[in-house]
Amino acid sequence: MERAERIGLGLAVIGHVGLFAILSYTLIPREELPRREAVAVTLSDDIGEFATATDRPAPASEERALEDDLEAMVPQEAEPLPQPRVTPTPAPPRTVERRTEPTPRRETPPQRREPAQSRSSRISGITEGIGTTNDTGTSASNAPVSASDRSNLISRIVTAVRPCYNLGSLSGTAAEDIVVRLRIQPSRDGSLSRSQVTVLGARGVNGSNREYQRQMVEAAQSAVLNPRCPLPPLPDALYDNGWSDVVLNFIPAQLT
Amino acid sequence: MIQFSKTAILLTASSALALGACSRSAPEDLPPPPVGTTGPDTTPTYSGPTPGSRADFLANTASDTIFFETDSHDIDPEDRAILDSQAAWLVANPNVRVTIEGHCDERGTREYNLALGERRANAASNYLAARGVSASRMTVISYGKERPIALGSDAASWAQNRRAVTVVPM
Amino acid sequence: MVFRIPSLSAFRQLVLGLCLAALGSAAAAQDDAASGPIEGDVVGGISNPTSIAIPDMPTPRAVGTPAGNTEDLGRQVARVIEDDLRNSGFFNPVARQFLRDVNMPQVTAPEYPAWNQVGAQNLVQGYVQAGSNGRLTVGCYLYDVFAQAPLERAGYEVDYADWRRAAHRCADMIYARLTGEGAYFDSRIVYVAESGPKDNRVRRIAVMDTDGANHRFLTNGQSIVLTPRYAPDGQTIVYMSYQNNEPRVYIYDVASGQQRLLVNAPYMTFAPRYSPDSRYVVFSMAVNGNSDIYRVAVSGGAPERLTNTPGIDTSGSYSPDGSRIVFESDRSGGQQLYVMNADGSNQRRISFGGGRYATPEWSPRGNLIAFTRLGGGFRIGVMRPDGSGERILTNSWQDEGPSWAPNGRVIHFFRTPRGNSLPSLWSVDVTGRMVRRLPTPVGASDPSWSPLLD
Repeated sequence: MERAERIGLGLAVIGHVGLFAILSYTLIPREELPRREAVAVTLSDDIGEFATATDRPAPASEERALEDDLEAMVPQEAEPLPQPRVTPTPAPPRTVERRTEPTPRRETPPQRREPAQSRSSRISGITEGIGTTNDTGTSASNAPVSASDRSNLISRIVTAVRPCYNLGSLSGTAAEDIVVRLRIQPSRDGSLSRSQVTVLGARGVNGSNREYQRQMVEAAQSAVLNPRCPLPPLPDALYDNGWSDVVLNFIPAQLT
Repeated sequence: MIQFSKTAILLTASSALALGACSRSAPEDLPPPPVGTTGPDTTPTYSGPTPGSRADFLANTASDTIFFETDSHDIDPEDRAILDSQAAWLVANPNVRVTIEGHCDERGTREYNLALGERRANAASNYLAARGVSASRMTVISYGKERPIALGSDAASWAQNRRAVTVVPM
Repeated sequence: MVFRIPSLSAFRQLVLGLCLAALGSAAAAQDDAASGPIEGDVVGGISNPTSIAIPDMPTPRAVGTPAGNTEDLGRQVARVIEDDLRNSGFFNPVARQFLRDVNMPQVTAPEYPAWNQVGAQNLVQGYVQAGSNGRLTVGCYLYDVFAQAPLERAGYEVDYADWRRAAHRCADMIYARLTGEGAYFDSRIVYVAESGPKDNRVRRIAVMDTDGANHRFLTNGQSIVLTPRYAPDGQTIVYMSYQNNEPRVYIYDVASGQQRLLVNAPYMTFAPRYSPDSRYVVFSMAVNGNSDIYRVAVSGGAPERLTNTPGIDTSGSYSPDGSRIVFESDRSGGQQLYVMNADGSNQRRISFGGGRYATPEWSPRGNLIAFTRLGGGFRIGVMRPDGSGERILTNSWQDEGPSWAPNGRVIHFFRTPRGNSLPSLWSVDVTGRMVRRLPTPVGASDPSWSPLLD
């Protein structure tokens, strides 16, 4: 890498960090709403076009077949109220299929590019918000979503979800070696129900944390389904080819 | 494998009862005697140190108590002087049986201190035996850190509590 | 500043996560108009108690029982469950004023949106019913409110007098399902109740449920009693008593209230612990200033000597498979931890840190040994059986005597303040979080957990 490229890349990185700081800052008002009160959380109300997910209605028509993993992790449906039992009822038997498919980390090999060009595109993102150039306000299209918009989308989604990634009792245990890979396919109105969440796999499961695998998957699921951490309002124009299909890697391990 | 003679058990039991009769080590909660033996009745009924009594022992020895360093059961020169005076009295009163209590300060764990207290009591007992007191006249008991005499949580209190006490029946 | 996140480290993770996301997107930028899912990393979980709603349990028919009306029992069962879960430290029960009334049909058909409104992540519903057989049935249902899905259910039938046990078992089911850990609420604790000043303290063996209920004294305080331990089968308690001014180990039969001497020796016996199969007791005996470790069959017979060193060997504790014993010895100069085979062979030191190590207790899971570390203060710690991975969990003037919960996740110990004060029982999570005092009627020391009750 040449010196100019290194400088350019450095500037791009700095600009990006700045971008996310600003984006994060814009989220503050929502995040600082009271979160511990046991009442419904009213979330941003202002962007009519992008419905917030406060109520998270189940999608009307979308009933996809779930992947095997999720299927295996969903408990049996409850039966009608059992008539008085006279003996302890064991838990319904459940077979948990473990698929430890490797979850490739998103690692794009660094490639040469024009620093100035990428910087300018980033700066436009900083000043004008996500998807300005693409957001025509029209109905959905299959127009391609630029890579920078895609990365901005994912960072906003991650920022929204992360405060609800609660390890609870799993924190500080061997469970923290387990990375859960989740796919979410939100509705266009921003809502998300369990049927729109697919478990793609869990990595790092070993003999000392196997008993926590199910709870780690559920911690990731709860993070995306928690009504306190709805998806942020995202541009409708970037739904297709953008935030309609999202993969999240939940990495509990402490960064040092 | 360990074998214990019946006489040893009886001796221990009777010594323990003698100890039980001692208000110093067993305050107000005397347990009922479990076996058909009774402790020696040496209760004095008149004033002045009766020969062979606790008062006599206390009046004619340097002290009934020796003190130890932290986590130690070593007998130092000061302890020796005290134990020598005790040995002399015990030799002069050959019918008196004694109990030697071992104690610890609170800055040890409970079970270790039980063992350490027993070690201290035995250190005193062994010294007295070397000075001519028959081992069969002496019973050791450890109270670990369960019976301090000084109540503070400071070095001075702990020093007072690290002790072995030779107890003569009243 | 950015988010309200509980700890500084969590905030640092967030910042780092943002930086990583920035780097990732910068790297991806050249690949314009990519297709497929967009992908990102959520790095660094937080650790908060889980919000859980435990509304009063309805009854299909309000019936009077010796333990009270079933309608009232439904309320009390819910409260016992709530207290258990809260005391674990991992759950934050929704305040009762926000809870909704639940009727019988709703027990199996929760109103998820309503529970979402009160902020509950999980929901516990159930019912209490008096059976014609003179027994009480408690149905217990656990739901995931976010996912709108049932997670687990179970029913428990108990005698009326044991209604609290049904509640504990329901709480155990919930705890185990949501944490991945083993259960432990439906168990008991034996300990030494202490009262009076330091130099004239009265000590009694006492037992209670893990939540402090059903408290009972087993001895009357005439003799010093120390270091009780529940047998793994829960039938007996082994402890040390100064009865007759002879410090000896006794076995107390819980059902009959009878006690008997473990070993008929003219020496102090102390530091008793059961083997995992309840058939042996490992203990220490002090002979002429030398304490060693022995074991003896509970059914009787001669003790077998396991250690033979001039030092103090004591506080032996079996591994859960019964094959090994961890103990403390000062053979190297100060107290340190050693492991040996159950027959006394292959003794080797496992602790090498500064200060002294004492009172080791092998976890029922087998993976850790809890101990007291002395040096400065007395602190509770854990290490792996090979001595690696040492972690100190508490920090106080004097914490000692660790004892494991049946699930190997929680440790009880006792804490003694400076000066002429009474000790008290505390618990700590094996991660070092959630140090909590256990309420007892008087001072308390030497806690020991029973196994899970049947």
